Amino acid sequence: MGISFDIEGTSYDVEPYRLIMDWDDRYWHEHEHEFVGANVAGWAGLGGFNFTHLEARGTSLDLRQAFRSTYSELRAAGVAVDTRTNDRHTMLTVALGPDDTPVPFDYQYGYVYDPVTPSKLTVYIYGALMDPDDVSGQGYGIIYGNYIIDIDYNGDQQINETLTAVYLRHINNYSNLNGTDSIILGSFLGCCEPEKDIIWTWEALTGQFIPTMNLVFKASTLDQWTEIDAGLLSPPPIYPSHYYGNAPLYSLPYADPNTPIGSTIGTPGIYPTTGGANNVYGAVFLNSLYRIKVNDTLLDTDAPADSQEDNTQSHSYNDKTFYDSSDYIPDDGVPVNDALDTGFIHAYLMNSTSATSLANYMLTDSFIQGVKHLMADPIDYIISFVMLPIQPAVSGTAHILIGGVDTQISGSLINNQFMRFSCGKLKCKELWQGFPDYSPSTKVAIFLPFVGIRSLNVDDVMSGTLEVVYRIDVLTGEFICTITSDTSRALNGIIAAFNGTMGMDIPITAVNYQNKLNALTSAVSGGVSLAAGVASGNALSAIGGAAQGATGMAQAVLSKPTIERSSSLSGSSGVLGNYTPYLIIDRPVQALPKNYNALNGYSSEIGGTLSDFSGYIEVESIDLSGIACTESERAEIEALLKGGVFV
Amino acid sequence: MATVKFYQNTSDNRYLSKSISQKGTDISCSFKDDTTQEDPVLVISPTNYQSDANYCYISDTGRYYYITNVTFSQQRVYVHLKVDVLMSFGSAISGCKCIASRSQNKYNSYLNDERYPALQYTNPVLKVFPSGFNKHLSYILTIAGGA
Repeated sequence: MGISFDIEGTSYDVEPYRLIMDWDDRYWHEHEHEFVGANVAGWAGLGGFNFTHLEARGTSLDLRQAFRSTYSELRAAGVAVDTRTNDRHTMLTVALGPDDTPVPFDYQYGYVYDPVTPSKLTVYIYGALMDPDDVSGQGYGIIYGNYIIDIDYNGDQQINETLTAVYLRHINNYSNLNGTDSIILGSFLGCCEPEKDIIWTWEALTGQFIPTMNLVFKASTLDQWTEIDAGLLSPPPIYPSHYYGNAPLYSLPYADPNTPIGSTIGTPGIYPTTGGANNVYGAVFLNSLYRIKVNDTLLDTDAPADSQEDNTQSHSYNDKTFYDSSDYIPDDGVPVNDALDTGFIHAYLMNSTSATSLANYMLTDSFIQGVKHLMADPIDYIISFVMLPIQPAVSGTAHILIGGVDTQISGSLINNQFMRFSCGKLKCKELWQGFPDYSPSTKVAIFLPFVGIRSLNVDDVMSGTLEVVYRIDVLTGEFICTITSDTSRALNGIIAAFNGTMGMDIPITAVNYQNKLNALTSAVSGGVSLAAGVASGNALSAIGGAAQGATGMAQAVLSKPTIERSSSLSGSSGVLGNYTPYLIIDRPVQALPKNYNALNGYSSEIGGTLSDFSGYIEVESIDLSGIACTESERAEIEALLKGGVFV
Repeated sequence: MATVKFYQNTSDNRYLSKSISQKGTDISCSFKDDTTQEDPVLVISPTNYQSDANYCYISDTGRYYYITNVTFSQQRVYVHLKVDVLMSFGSAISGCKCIASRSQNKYNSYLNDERYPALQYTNPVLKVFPSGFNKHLSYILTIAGGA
């Protein structure tokens, strides 16, 4: 299954799962020289992960800001992505305790398994204990992403703050479980319900060790709880708190938090992580680009043939590692050097007062006579004069020199020709928790300043966090606008890019102004032709559909014409538009009657025996062998089952 | 002669297991000539006829039947039947391997569902990003030559 590695005579099979660590201001890590990736890897091995892809992104803050470095540590943090089911989960663990005193939550380990598909399990920890000596005094909500919970924490108090809440996606709410002495293990059965939470609770962990624990997991709905045996845990802990479980002992050189993504840290290779008494081992696969691959050889990765959960896994890939995983394409920023570095040109940031002064000065005889006539016209020394809606970085002020003449007018020297401007991140959440949230039922477009409204692929953005970034040439106003999405469907990469021009050239001569007018005329004529073709699709079909009232969702959506909402807003016209991007999410409105599920059911594509189902069922196919009936009766049975029966 | 139990069935015909209550006692009756096992016609005496029965079980065939019609002729009651294959073979059917196309209790909400009803209009919403560009424009002058 998956990828096979052969390391020093030991074979490793790993599944194409990926674990991506997103480090930002809410994550901290620093524990002596222990690279956090090792922690993650250790926990990954602990939890039964089989990741082939583990990445660290962003920057981490000094853990000391949040936790006292002498004894506390953040064991692991990251975002686990199941590339098969497109689910993305935050994984956080902490092990804190003054003077290495064990704290209750050091017991958050143990190998748990997916009863359906061993090795298909993703585990993440929701529960966490806050450090009592948090020097920041702010407390931290350490559940991130979809699971943000803010903790109110007042500096010096002894913290007994335990997150016992978990976000249940399918009910769009947080669920509090078992008070303050409990911890919640969140897990996701990768081949089970995608985008739905399956919650494991681990009760009563306050300082006690439970040789055998019964985990309770819940699938899909609140009233379906099933107990499974989570397996035998390790003997009572004998290690200091933070070495319990599968905490890796192997240390890698500490990674500078500011190390750019893509840098190589440590020596590429594979390092075993040694655990505690639980004797569950992982391995850290470290290569360039911060990618770490993890393997846990103790888990049975050979799932029984019939144990795969339905309809969430492709069975057709010959090479999953190629078809089911992608290379990470980072936002690699703007060029490092630019035209300003050559000294042939200089750029100044001016205010309106200095610009007016310069305009007046350029009409004086002293300027015209003083300019060294390398150019035919002194005005030719001015390469561009533009208005931009951004504030480029500057380094001090200087007198503006034009053709060697000191104008005695100051401007701020612009450092870099290129700059990156982020409009921030925006979460695009599901509404229906199902197929209506995706295409073709839902449509998503985005308004981008200086670009206009552009359609996006719903599957790229739904359930993901979008970021709009402009990479701008501040000398000309030209830009590339990229939209990134962190859904695993979109592979956490750029899903769209548009170019354009922002700002507006300031005409400084009549000729220059005429050029602007010509450009504007051309733009308008282009807009007219664009407007003439704005409506497409089958409008008649849409009208007919409306007459029928409520109709199938697909039909309702597909019968809608596609309407362009804007033309290009580049250049001067863009200056007059809105300056903040926004998403336009066009959702269907369901008309679900009461008893719909009881009388129709929902799309299933799930296999089993008929007795596995209850209530209404329509059978797609069935094997009626073994029934002592006539052939006509068998045919009737099949017809009835396909038409829908109640069991 | 066959032994028949008459029932009143209150379940929809699509139920694998019917909710039935027996009417009267087991009776003996005969089949009309030239009837089939799947659509037999019983011949019973008027005294054994249960007018509130709509369902029966014939032990000889081991099948449950819907009563589809009742006719009277020459002091005889003719009860027309239609086999209920779901109830008759329900136990065996329940153990059959199958794939459900639709289900009330086991479904995947991310599978497309063409029957899912929707109104013809949609509900567009706008969600704005946290930050945008500055309306106070910067003036940027680019000059050829050294500073």
